[in-house]
Amino acid sequence: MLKIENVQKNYPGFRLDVSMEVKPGRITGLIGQNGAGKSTLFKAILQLIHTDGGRIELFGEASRALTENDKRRIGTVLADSGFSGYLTVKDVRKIMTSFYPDFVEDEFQRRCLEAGLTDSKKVKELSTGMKAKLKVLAAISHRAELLILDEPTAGLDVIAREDVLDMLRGYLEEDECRAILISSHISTDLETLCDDFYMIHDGKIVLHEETDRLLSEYAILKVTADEYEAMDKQYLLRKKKEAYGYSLLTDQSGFYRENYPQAVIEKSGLDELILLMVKGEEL
Amino acid sequence: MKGLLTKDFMLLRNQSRTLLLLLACGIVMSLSFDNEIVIMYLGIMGGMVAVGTLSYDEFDNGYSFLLTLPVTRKTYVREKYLFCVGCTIACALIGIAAALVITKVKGGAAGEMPTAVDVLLTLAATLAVLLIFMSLTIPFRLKYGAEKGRIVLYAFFIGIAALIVLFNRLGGGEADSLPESLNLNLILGALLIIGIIAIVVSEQIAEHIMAKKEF
Repeated sequence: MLKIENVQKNYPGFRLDVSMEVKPGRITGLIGQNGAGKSTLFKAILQLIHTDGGRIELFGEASRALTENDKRRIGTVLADSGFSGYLTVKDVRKIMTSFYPDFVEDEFQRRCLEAGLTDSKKVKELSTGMKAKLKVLAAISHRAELLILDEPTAGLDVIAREDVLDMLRGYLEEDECRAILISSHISTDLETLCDDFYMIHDGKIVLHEETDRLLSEYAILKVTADEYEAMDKQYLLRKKKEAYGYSLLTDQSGFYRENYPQAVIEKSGLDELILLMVKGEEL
Repeated sequence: MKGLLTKDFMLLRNQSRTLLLLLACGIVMSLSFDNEIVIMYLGIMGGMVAVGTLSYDEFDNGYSFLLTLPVTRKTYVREKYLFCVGCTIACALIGIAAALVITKVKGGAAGEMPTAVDVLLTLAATLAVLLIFMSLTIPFRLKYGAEKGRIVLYAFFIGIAALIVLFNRLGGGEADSLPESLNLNLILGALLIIGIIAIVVSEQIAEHIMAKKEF
């Protein structure tokens, strides 16, 4: 569906150099700190910026200017951009109808009303949660094959976030050939949604893993300095100095559970993973 | 293109109160001054309001999202020019209708219907001014944004004021005593041609600016 090979973008003090793939029928998460390059990568895919090298293959066709037809096959949510605040919900509906022949107007209107988005409300009058729902509803209501979602749940409370995530699950269930690329800084959202993850740091992908494996095999070991010295380090990814010794990130927790039963081994959530991948020392 | 035009019309419709107020001002001006002034007034206002949709597109990083919709950068530029020129013409036509109604309402000597030549000359003058204005302001706004784009707006009006002063000096302060070589019809015709050439060149420049721009 989407294949990115060594896509580069240079800014003063920052260089993006990324390879990744989004396959049909899958939800791929992109995680990373603020400023890691998530939005730059999204903009590169959507050709909102000009890249300095590399290749982006979309719908099986490589690096060429996106046509209007290509764009009809993509649904997009951008964190910091959307419909003009001076338009009403009804205006948005009419505009989407004009842009997309496959836009399901009745369905969009029904779901807007369910979400409390009445026709007469102007976008600028909507709460953060309502705006986010409107953006997601617009993106999923024209039978797009690929959704590119940059922080669609940013600033939302737990209930609003769950509503948005449910919309996305429903979108993928309708057609197994669809795919979603989503970024979020709220890791719990992605843990329950994504099939695989890419982690980006300083403009580079530092980790790619299936969610199941990440949640079952990745773990954090908490060991003293002596225990660390005596330990087999071949399955350790990162180490971080702590008051008690070291916290260590492994992608083979079974190996350490079996061979070091005395070690404290904790399941690694995405937050801990990000923390150790970013702050930890590479081994 | 259709989606962009729909968006711009929606944005205009949401400013209907302002537009009605502008129409009322035009009618009041015509009642007090020349019957035809409403043609120029409404044409200019229509064009300027249409150019103002660029600010709505730009506001809150709007361009980024706009260009993820099924529209290329080239189409965006073409639609904007079409919309702006179209609005100017449409508003000027409303102005012609308003001028005819006002003439009827005034009655008496002031109620003499404007001739077709008068109307066409006013229309040509309106279009010439607006085409030159848009040719300058649209590429500048696309490149530098609405804030800096205002500089062009001010420079344009200063330029117009300077031209009026220049013509006044040439004519000794009397429009009727302009040198014969400065035939008003010819000047208007030349200005209109310059305006059309300018808008075509400007559109090409704007396409180039948009192609290079990063969002």
